[in-house]
Amino acid sequence: MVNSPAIGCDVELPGCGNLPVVIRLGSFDRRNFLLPELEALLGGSGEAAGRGAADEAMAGVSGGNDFQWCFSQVKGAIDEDVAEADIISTVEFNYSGELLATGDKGGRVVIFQHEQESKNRPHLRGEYNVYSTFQSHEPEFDYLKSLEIEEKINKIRWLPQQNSAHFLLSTNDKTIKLWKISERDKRAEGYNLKDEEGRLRDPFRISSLRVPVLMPMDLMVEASPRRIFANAHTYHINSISVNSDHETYLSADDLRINLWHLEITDRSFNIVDIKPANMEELTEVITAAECHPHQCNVFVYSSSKGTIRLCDMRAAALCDRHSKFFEEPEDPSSRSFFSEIISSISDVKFSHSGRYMMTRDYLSVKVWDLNMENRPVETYQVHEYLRSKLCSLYENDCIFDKFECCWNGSDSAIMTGSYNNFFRMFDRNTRRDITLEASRESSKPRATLKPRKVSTGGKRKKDEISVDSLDFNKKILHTAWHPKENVIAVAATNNLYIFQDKIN
Amino acid sequence: MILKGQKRKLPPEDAAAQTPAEWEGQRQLVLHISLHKYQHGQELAEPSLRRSVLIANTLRRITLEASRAAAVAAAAERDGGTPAPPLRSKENAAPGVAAPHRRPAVTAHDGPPAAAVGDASPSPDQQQQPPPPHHHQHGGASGRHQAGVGAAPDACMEGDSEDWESMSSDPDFSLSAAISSILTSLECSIDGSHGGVPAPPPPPRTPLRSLENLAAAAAAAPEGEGAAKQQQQQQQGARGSCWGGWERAEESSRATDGCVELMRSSYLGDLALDDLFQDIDTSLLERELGVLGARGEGHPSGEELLRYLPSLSSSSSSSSATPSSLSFSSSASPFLSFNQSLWCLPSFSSFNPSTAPSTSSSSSFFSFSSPPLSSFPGPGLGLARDGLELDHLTEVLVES
Repeated sequence: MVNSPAIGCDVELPGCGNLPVVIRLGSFDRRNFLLPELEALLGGSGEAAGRGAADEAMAGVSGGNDFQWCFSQVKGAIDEDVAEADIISTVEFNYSGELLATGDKGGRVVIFQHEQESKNRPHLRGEYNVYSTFQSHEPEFDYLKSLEIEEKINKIRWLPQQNSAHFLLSTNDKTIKLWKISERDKRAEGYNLKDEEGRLRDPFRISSLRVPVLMPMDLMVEASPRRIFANAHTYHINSISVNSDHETYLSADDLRINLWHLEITDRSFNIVDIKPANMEELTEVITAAECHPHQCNVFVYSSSKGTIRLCDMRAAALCDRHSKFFEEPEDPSSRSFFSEIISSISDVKFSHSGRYMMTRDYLSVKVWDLNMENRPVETYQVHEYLRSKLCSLYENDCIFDKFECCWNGSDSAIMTGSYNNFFRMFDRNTRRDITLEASRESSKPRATLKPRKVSTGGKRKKDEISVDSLDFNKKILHTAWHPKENVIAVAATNNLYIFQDKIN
Repeated sequence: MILKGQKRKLPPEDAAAQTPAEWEGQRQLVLHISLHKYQHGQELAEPSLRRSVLIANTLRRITLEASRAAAVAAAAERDGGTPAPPLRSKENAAPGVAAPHRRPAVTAHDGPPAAAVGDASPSPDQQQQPPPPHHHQHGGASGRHQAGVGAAPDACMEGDSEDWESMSSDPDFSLSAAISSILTSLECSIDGSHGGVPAPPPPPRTPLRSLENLAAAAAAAPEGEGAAKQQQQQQQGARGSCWGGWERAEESSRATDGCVELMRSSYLGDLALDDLFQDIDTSLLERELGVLGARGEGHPSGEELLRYLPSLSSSSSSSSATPSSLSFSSSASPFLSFNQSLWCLPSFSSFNPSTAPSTSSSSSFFSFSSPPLSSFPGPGLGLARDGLELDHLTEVLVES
């Protein structure tokens, strides 16, 4: 394009229909803000510039020309008997990608840190090693209601780093906790009133004063709970999301969404309440919620009926009335008894640009343009071969599995999990997709992952797996993509797999 | 595929390619699976409200489609004059159009018809042929009632008992609140709007029970057969729990009678106030359960209510029972009659007395789910009964 817009300017493009489309180009990287279609309008210079500029090739996910995924690490026990408490229930990179947090059903949080690449072998990315482990939530018993409260960590969300310490929010079904993870690598020596072993000295024997000196010590990582946000949710918390103002965050349960201030634990604002007056009339629950990455007044929440509501907190104190309502009309030809169940949205994620959002229902992933409510702009089938098996999946409860989805750093690719330890990645630019497997067999260091295929027809080709051979107990519900690099973390039951692109 | 349960040939799931018989077969299959899930939802390690809602919606959809199919079939047969297939024997037993006035009679016996289910289309109800279903359903209602009473290992009954048990509250408070609620609601028409949203405390569950969501707990309450059996013995007549009540009703009717119509008619619960008023351990009444509580219970058929009313009256007037039990039974009476009267009022289920500070227990009685029904044996008749019951209740209250 001849007149490439300068970074930071508003660009007005011929929009969809009668609405002009105004794009604000990002201040640090245009490629994070431009869609393939828009880049085409702009002459594709953005994408090319993006590709050329980055050290890592952000484009392309399929094992084509660009790069391939290879195994990096696996964390967790290998033996077949998996303790229930070790099942990973959430995975999340922090804003820089340096830290990777996992939560499990036993209420523990394990944080991995990315080691610096060694100078001797620059072609290898550093590894993720355990940085901190702590028990975030304990099982509780609600005596008033005679209910057990599980300690399973439902979600972990990092706060943007503001000082040397790291902060994250972790939540179980009822309680959200703010944890501070700080390092201590020095200690003071040479106290006046204590001797080296810590015993108090006899004051009368002190004849001189000295200034304590800070001496290095082995690195100690401490995790301490700084805030506990409790007793605000009657139903099970399914989502937490830190607002872009870095001061507030929202928490969502099945029927209500609350807005918290990070400093205030004894109060929260209820901003969405879909509980009907008569619980008999309950037909819809909230399944996920997220704050907009840039507009601190905007958030979305998805429902079990396949709808997404975008709300603006400036409009009213109670955001029961949505500002935008996203729903794709049901395809009458594919109606079945399970239409509603498979339309239930299990995860909603804004793109890093804030222009799009992605929703995951049982069989597909959909990318929505926030400006278009009547249908998604992209739909990707994750495991369409399961559509004929819905009855069986309903019987064994697999149809209720809640898969998550995630964007890559540049919003050019999306990833989600499936069964048989398969996970799928879709390239939004090239429209290519790939199915990979997280298994011990492909766990040799830097071994390239081989694309997998599920055969749907009668004839099963070599290396394909038939639908009936899929292991529905091995499901990948939680995945995370590094915000800047092509490193992905995939949780397969009790194992955490880390894959990265092969740097040639 | 890893399936639980026996192997069987599944009907094809492609709707377009299915014959009606296949579709019906699959519908039955999904129906049974759904009910099974209700019954065992309690045993899940992580019962979830989302799952319960989805199962409930699926059941509703199935029953609606079944009733639509039945309606179409019935209409076709009426037009064609051909005898109904056995599967639809109930609805087609009586030739001719279902008289509207009979429909309420049937539903009065059986509880709210499927129309109670929110926005169920009226056509299925229209097509519902009452009798012999009338008689049958009455018998069925009795059967359900009897099943609910006492020892029958009916999951829904057990679930009721364990929920009911959890409804422990201050009896006097609940009683007065209940009375005021009745009077309030009788005076002003129920228009579906109610005061505040009551606090939705979760229905208490048996101790050390696995985690549940609140409403789901209530919904799933009836479903735990194993543990529920114990609960039933411990706290009989206990009832509680929320919106799951109608699901329970649905499953119970399913369990006892495989007829679609029957299920539909008792969709919102024949659950029984029956065993509710059989043995009442009022010390376990919990005020909190309130709205979530009995609201979802569904309501008993008219016959059953009448059957119990005299017994309750006599027991309440002559009993030297504890005040709590007395008050409970007293409040039960107005509830019953109130319930009846509310059947003819729209959107009863959304009623929630806003005046009583502790709306829970009172609303638990009243929101005892009369779904927004449009049918009723006869408003005059019901209200007359109500008046009598109310008077009696007032007397009892004064005495107590």
